[in-house]
Amino acid sequence: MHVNPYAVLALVLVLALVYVGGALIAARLFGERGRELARKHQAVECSSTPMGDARIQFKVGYYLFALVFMVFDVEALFLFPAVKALAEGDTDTGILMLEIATFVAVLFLALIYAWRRKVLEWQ
Amino acid sequence: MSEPAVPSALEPASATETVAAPTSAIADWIRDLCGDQEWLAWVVITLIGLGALAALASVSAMVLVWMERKVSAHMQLRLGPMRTGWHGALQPMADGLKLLFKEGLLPRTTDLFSYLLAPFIPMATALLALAVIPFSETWQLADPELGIIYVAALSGMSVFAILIGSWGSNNKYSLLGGMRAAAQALSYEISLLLVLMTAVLMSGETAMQAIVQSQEGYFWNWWLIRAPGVGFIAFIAFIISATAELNRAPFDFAESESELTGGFHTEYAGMAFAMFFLAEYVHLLVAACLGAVLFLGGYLPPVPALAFIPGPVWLLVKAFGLVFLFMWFRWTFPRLRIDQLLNLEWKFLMPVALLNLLAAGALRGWGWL
Amino acid sequence: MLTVYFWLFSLIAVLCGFSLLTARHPISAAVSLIGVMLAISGIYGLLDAPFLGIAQILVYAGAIMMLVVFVIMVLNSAKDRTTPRGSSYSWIGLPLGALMSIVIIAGVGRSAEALTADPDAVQGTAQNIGRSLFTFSGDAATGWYVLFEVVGLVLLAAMVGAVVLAKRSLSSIEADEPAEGAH
Repeated sequence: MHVNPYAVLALVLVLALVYVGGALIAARLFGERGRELARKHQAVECSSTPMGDARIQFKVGYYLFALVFMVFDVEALFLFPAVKALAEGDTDTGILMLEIATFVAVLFLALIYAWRRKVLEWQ
Repeated sequence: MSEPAVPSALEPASATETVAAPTSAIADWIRDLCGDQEWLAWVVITLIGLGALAALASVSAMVLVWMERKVSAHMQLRLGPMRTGWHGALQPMADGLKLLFKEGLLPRTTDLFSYLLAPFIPMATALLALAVIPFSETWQLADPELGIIYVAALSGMSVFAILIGSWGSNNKYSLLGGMRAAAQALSYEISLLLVLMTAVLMSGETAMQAIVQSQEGYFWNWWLIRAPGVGFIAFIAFIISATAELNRAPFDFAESESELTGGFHTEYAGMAFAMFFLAEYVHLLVAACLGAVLFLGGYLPPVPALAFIPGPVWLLVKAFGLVFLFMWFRWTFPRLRIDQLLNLEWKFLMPVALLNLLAAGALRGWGWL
Repeated sequence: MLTVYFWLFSLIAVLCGFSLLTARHPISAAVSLIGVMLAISGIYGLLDAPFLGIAQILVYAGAIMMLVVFVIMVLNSAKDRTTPRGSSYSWIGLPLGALMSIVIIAGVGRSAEALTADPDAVQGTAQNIGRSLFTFSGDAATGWYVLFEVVGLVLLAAMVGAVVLAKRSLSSIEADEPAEGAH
């Protein structure tokens, strides 16, 4: 009997949800219920009353890193079939190697560009 | 199940093949019991597999927590937990019980949906990744054809646990830790992907089982040694990026205790915290198993003469060796600064991994592998 | 069993899509969108296109949504905490959306048979994709060698464009506000 392995993995996902959900519910059932105190519902700030909102504006640097990451993530994904084809070895390896090397070289240009424009510096 | 790929035209490949344990003794016994009811046998075997997966995750996480505490203690000339059971072996169990009876706090400032969703994510990604690790030829819950890149996709998803959890808790420490951790995990994901692709190139396979099979024989067939230089560099790059992806010291920005109290899980108490904590150690086990599968022959013994020791033992021995390495790092290297961390990845590790991938391609292309 | 999975994934996708539309905060909307993408990647897996499914998780659910979440966090979500459920734009958007869904449903209904998975059809595994991209059989190269390189160039162009835009906005933000606001 042949079963799609991704179907089994979907079941594993259900297992994980049951596992964590069960643990949380068990803790809810058995857990201590102390007195209601306003302090218990405060955000932790080393016992001082939190000031202002935690959701501050973050540096643009994070966004730049996410951008660079995305380019290289897509690159890695595109390399994957090429790498697989090369590993299979049923196509002209020389040409394929040249192909991958050119592709990687173009992306090295992208890395060098980001490097030169100081995108990779953390200010 | 693992017949060599036929190099013909586009044949329907192994996407719908293979599921748990075709030949193990227990599976055969269940099949006999069920007779003609093939689907019933499948359901029973899968349920047992899922139960085994959950048990493995829980037990190994407890063992790893204990091991972390003992290793840390002995590296600092302390004894660590000694009172609960033999050398404190029952300590994680006691901790778990304590966390079960703790009061679950729910701060009013949280965003309830994201706050409650976050503890589910790390455990889900950890179990999903553990499910594709082969413990022997037959002990593997699922063997998707794209096992390698599937694991990479999961490690990308686990970042969201930190991000969503920290945003949901609406706490300054959490948010700072979460954003830092996300930037770090994003960066090291690239080199991890490149290393995984180097492994694909070396072995010519993308499924976990097939990668292990490609290292059959003596230990010099393991990819760490067999691919001259390339395998070793890939292994080092894997260890570094795995340490960063796991948010372990020296890359533990997500919860650098001295700066951010608890980091992204500051706001979680009781069982919700326990889930983050447990998942962290399951992730550690997954990373170590992955390293063993890709570079150290997985469940294969170093010498064929030692094959009488079953496969799962070999895999766990190798994986726990790597776990020890991860714990050793923690007490050897001081925590980096975030700019050093990002420089290490973008200006060193990523170019090295990319060149290493090309070198592996050259080796494979000229038939030296 | 495939049908069960299909309905399950579709249900999850539709529910997440609904929660995406009704979410009051951009981050909740982003989380719902991740749910939609994961459910759709599950459907790709069912259609024997695992590579597409994993690409969906890796690139869309992973990288692009991460970028979206970062953008929301960088764009100071505190100022713009929630969006109202209805606004004057809904009156333009709703009829257009309804029209679009009628077109899609009609289109799917007409070609329903073509959409069922055929087990004998070519499967979208990495192996097969690699082969069809880079086949070098006999006298003629049937692969897509040049296009593959063009993808690399497109990625380079995307990177340069993004950096130019981001650097410009970076300087304008820094001009707007003192640096103490950013962490």
